[in-house]
Amino acid sequence: MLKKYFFIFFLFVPSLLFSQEGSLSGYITLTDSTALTGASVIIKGTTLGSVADNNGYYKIGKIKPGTYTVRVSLIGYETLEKILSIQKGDNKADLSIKESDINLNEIVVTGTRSEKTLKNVPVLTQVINAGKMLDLGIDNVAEALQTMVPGLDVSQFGTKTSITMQGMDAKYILFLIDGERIAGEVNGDIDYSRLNLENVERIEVIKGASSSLYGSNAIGGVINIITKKVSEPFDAKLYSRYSRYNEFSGGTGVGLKKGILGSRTNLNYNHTDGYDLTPESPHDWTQTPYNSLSLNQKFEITPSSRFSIIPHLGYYQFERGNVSARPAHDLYKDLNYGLKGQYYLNNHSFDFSYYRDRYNTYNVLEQINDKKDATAYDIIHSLRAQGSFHLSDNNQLVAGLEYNYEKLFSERIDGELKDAGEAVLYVQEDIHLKEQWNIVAGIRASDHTSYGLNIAPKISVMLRQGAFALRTSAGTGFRSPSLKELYMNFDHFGEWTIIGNTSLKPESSVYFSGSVEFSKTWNNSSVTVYRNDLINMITDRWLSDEQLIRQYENITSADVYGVDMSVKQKVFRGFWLNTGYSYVHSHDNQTGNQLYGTTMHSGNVSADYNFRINDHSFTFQVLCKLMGEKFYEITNEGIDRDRPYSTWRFTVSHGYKWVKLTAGLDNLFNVIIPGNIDFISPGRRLFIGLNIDFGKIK
Amino acid sequence: MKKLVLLSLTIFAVLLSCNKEDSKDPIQSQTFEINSTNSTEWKYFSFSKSDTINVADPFNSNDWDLAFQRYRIRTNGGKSGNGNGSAANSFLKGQAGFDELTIVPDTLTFVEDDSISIAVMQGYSIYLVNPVLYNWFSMEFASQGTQIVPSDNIYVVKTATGDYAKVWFKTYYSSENKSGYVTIQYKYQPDGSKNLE
Repeated sequence: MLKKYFFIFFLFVPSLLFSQEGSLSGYITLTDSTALTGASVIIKGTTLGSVADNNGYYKIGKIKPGTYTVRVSLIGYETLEKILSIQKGDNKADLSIKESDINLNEIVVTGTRSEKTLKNVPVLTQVINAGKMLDLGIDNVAEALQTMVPGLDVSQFGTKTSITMQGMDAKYILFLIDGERIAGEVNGDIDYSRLNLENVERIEVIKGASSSLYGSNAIGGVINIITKKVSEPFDAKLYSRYSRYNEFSGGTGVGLKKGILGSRTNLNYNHTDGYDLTPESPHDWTQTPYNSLSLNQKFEITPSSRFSIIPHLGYYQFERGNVSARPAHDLYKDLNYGLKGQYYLNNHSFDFSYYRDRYNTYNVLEQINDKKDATAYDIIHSLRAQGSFHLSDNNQLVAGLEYNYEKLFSERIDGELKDAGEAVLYVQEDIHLKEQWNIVAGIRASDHTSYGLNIAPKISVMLRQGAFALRTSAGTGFRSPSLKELYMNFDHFGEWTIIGNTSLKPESSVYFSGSVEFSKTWNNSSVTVYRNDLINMITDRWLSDEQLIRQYENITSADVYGVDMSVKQKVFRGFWLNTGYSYVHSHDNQTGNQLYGTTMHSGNVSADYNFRINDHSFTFQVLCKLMGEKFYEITNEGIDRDRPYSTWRFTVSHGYKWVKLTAGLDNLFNVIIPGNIDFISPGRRLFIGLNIDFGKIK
Repeated sequence: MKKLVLLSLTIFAVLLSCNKEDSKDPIQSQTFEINSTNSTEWKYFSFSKSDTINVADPFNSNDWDLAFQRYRIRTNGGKSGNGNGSAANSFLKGQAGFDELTIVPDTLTFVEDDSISIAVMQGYSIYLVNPVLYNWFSMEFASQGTQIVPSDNIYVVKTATGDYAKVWFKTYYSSENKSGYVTIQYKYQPDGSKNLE
């Protein structure tokens, strides 16, 4: 299959080699003509690009004459796009960009599976800048999301991290890395500790149903982690963070680019001694000790201005210290690799990708020489070919073919290997009417080996009027029954057995949302109202009154509606105030209660102050997370719920040239709630961090 | 040659152990792993045989002393059997407690088997077990799955024939991390006395 793709690509190579070429060079400056270092300049629709040097100078060669859109971007500045005509020979263009804390021209990809600026995407997208998070001592994706996204809640139950957003738990939230699914979920939650911010450029968050593009699980939202690209000739960073209980995380990322070859290597290590806030259950620690290690390698090969090819490889391992009553501890290993290719032709682009991810779960048997006993492994294969057709300046068509395959071995599914596959076709039309109106309509048809055909449509409309953007969308979401739900056969302590059901249908939802966004250089605010109706939800229930066997069935339905609000306000130069609030009403039609693990009210408040004195930069941040009462279920003993709480965090960082020191206090007011399931802070903690940017050493 | 040495060693060991029996030396501490993975059948254990045995009519048999079904334990007495079985908690813990318990104290309260009601997922289940021995463990709900954590209490068990044994239920997991394998460490006094040294 892959060979075929290579063949197609190489067909086009000769035509490129013999074309007559031009070059583009110039200076990137701030509007007051100060030179800007590190700005990235790319020519849209090609693989060509460069990074401005210390004098702000850039040069891009080997451009085929024609008209191009040139894009200049740098973090902290407004992205600039300019149409330039490139002639044969040398072309000069000095480009200047504006300083801006709110960059509405930032490029996002998740909402439409194609590059669009933030202000033009009809699906409200929130972007989390990973570099900024690292500077504030936040180094893992789950923590960054918890901190930055109103209505997104990360909770910790013993060893497992869980995520909810807009009242939907992790089963209904799709996590992607560069648009690819992640193997090894447990009740919908993937292993978040394998996602480290050091390797990340940004995180894009889309709330609501997006199954028309992404298929299964995209009911409550999509979180897409965009990894770093190779843009500079040399880029090397080191970061480390240390806190109580020997909690350490550290890593390094090295990017190199020379000629047609770019490479990026990331290594990351985490450790904690763990702690226990509930001494009455000494074998169930609040935070178990662990060590984890990850290694990622990516190559970017750009043999011509028309196409690029990216092979990538990742390895991750996580080993837990044993504090349980068992003679064994957990070990997780993951190996993933893939190949991406992109080909540009007359403003059209063609993408293909193959990705494989294998997540292994082992029991390390301590009494048998640490023998590794594989209890489960999960393998995901994904193959995709997508074309983005630039039909006219106001009309873009995206069409893709995809094949997804999953194989799972688990002791809990009879110790057998089970699999499921899905063939997919998706189409999306993106139309601009008169500048202000933008309509994106898409549909995805899939044929699943277990339940057959499934159709998921979605339409989004945006009206932009000055500083205001009105967005509305209606879409469908679905979740395929997992292999566990299809084939489970698990004996729970010999008391009862839980079994799968091969006649399960996918869970499905209908989602409506409307939002208003206001954006100026001094304020960015939005209000979103939404409604999500779910049917055919999969739950396990007793097969008979003897209560011996539980089986998964499509029995529950639920209604969810709510409001998300966010205000980002500039107080004075460098000083920003951010607030977010989320209200969720959920109703489980089977129990008549709120959905399990949901919070009606939650919010966050933060104040950031950044300033610079010569080579010194300073950041102060106060951050507060507010959580209302969290509902679980009604049991024999009454209502099972978590108490409301608020936690505060204070961070100071000081950068000097290439080194940055961060210190902070986590849980400032020393809030400790041992009974709460989701809040596991051991109290006030000091953390210190050191980040070094070797690329800036002159 | 090697075989010969081995043989003579074996004979020597046998002689030595015979000697012990004769001179009424202190009773030996023993460890045994019971496979009680079956959730519907009971596994019967005899202290005098130091092994699990098959029992045709458990209620009317004096051959067994303890019965295991997963983490549930019975003695041969009360509602479980016609024997003299019962159990008491010494409230001593672990290896130190096991060593310290050299004689059955007169203050112990022995409890016979009875039906107890246990809260399960939805409602209650009735188990016929030894109520004292039902506290040999606690269930801790960790995210890796529920785990059975031994209380490490040292129990005094009265056998079917009215003898005494001290028992420590050490773990619920085999070395392969499979649940339903109860390892017990015990000292059984066959002479009917309360001496457990």
